Amino acid sequence: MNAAILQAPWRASPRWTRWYMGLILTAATVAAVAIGFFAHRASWPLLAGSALAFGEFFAGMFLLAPGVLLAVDGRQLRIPVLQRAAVAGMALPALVMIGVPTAALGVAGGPVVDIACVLAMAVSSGLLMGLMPRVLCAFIGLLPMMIRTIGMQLHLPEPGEPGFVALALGSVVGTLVLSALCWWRQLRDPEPYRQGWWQPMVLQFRRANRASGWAGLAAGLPDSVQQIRRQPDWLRPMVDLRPAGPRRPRYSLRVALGGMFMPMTVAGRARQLAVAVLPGTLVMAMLLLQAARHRGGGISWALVTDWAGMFAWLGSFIGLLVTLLAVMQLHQHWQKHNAELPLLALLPGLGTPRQVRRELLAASLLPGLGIQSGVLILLLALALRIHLGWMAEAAVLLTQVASMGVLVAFTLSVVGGRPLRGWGAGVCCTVCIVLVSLSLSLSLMDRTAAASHAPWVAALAGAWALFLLVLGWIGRRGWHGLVQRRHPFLANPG
Amino acid sequence: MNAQLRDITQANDSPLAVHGLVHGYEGTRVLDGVDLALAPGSVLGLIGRNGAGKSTLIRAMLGLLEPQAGQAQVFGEPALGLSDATKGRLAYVPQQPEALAWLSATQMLDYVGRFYPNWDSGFVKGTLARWDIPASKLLAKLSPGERQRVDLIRALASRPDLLVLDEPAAALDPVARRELLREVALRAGEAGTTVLFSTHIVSDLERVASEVAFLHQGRLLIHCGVDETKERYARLWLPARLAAAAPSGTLSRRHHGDGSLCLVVERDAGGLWPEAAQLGGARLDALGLEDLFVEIAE
Repeated sequence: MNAAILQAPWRASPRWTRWYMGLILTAATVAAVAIGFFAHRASWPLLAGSALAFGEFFAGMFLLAPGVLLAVDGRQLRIPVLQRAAVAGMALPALVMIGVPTAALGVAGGPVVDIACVLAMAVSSGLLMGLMPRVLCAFIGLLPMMIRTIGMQLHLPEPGEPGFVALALGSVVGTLVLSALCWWRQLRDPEPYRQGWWQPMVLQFRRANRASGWAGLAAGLPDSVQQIRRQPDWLRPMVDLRPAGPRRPRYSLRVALGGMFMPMTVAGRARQLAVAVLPGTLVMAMLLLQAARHRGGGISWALVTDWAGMFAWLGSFIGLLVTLLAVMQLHQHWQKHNAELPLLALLPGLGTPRQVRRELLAASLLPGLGIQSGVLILLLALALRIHLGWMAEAAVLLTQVASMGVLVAFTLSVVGGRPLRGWGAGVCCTVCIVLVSLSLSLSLMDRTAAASHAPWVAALAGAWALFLLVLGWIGRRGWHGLVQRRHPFLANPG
Repeated sequence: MNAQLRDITQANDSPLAVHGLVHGYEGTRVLDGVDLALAPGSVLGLIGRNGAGKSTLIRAMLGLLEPQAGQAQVFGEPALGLSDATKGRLAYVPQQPEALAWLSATQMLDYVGRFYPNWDSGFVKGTLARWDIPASKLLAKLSPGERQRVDLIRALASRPDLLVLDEPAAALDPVARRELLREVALRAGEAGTTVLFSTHIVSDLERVASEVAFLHQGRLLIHCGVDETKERYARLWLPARLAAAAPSGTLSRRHHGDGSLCLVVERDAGGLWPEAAQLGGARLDALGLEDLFVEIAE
């Protein structure tokens, strides 16, 4: 029974999750072993534990949190004992994930309590991340810099320092209480399988894991019909239809593409922006004010300089998010046989196939590129104003250009009928996120530290060049597909 | 006249015609060399079981997918490269339409109407009211039946010469279905609109179609006038002792446990039933459209 419970998270996971998790856990273990071999500092077990914690965070999110789905199924199908088994199937593997590495590193001379705390924090925060409402994940992009900034400014103890264990235990208890609340809320929900922004992330994973590639990513997002059904009436999109018609094919195509492509009235746009931006702005303002108070002054350029990394992260995150949303929305459009594609294919007045192609590309690319360009200009202006240094400026430029490149390449591949399948899309997105993270981390170090990492900078530049080449290949392939298509409104195979 | 021969001769002046259409998904052949042409002003009911390939055939006919082989023409133009003039004469309603869900019914019809030269705004207004559709509600929030009816209004308001409907009655209640069929019959009778609609509700087909085409396992087995089917096809039952005399090339063949044989047979070019029907002990039964459908599809 116990062996079966231990295996439950793994066996209940879809194939793609197992692959991703296998890779992440292997990478974390290899990193930990490498630290053991090559690090000469006495604190290497703690470092190795941190490397393992990175993998275990994802294990908490992708392997343990989905236990709630099992519990929900058990409750809905009135299967006895299954709810308790789901809790055990989450708790027991979690204890093993914390206990085994702690024991191993303890034998190697590491501080057992600190390592256990680091691992417990990782597993419990991964679990919470999987169980909490999707809407809160909008802040994930801010987390790395937020933790770093807050940690530095509030002088929070780090592993190995006095006070760390108390802090870690408090954090673990807090995350476990929140996880239990999220778990209970989902279990008692009268419609526990309903998708929505306030539903837990794990529901998203279940949908996304039904397919691979863009299909899988897009399946994780509710389509336009589902999204609008769930929206309250006051949030309904206020489209500006006045200029639409055969004289403005590009504008008309944007109406037909809907979502982020849709031209809205000023009031409609302001309302949606307020909903999307206001919570983030408020959080940011609160953090800035807190930091200013801690610094003993008001909001100043010096404070903004301290927070430059946060702004760079945020900008890059927005750029990537815009790309993902646009491409997934297009992917959904180009998979449906009963929605906009047949309507557009048979709509008179959009022009010759060549004109339609041009207008469609403009309609599908310009809104996203516009937002990304705006973000880029703001970030560059900020970087220049606070003299961030050429490396940081280059990184900001590069990360935003990469988001734009991904947007162009994948848009072409979708409308050209040649979307990447299987691993391709996931690997590309992951590589992009990793490159963006590394570039920003490296470039935002102080200059002397950055100089000592010159070989890494060179390697990163090489990786970027390779990535941009791959994007070029994807885009070119999509463009050829688009040119060869008799018209662009042919659905892609599912 | 033989159905295929008639198809080929009609193809040139047909509003909608396909020849040698082949298509499949993931190694499965969905359409297997389909030839079909609609006569101008006809109402063709395309019938077949779920998964028979009806929607794929319709989409290939309209250039909404690129077939693996074969040609499709709409008013003489290649379906994959229609001119604006031809698109303006054509209206299509897919199965369970979902387009432009972020607009209200009024907004969607206003938007689409701007592209059609013959758009009938009066019809839109009148029918929205007559069919009790909440015009300002977002399409995403309408019931499937209401959503289907809005799309039917969209198709009919463009006053098309060719109307193609994929399972138009699937989400409709009996009253709405009857209204739709009345509208289709009216369009065909008064305006000479050519109509192709797919269905598996045989009574709808009998009520409104002038021709029937039966698609089974990717092949078009029957294409003739609805009234012709009773005259042209029948069920031939042969006892076990006559089973060896069964004609070849029948539309369906079913063996019973007692060795007897049930076949669906067709009159030959001279209007005669197969010789086996004349044998002592053989029985020939007339088939209604639904029975014919079930006999072949089973």
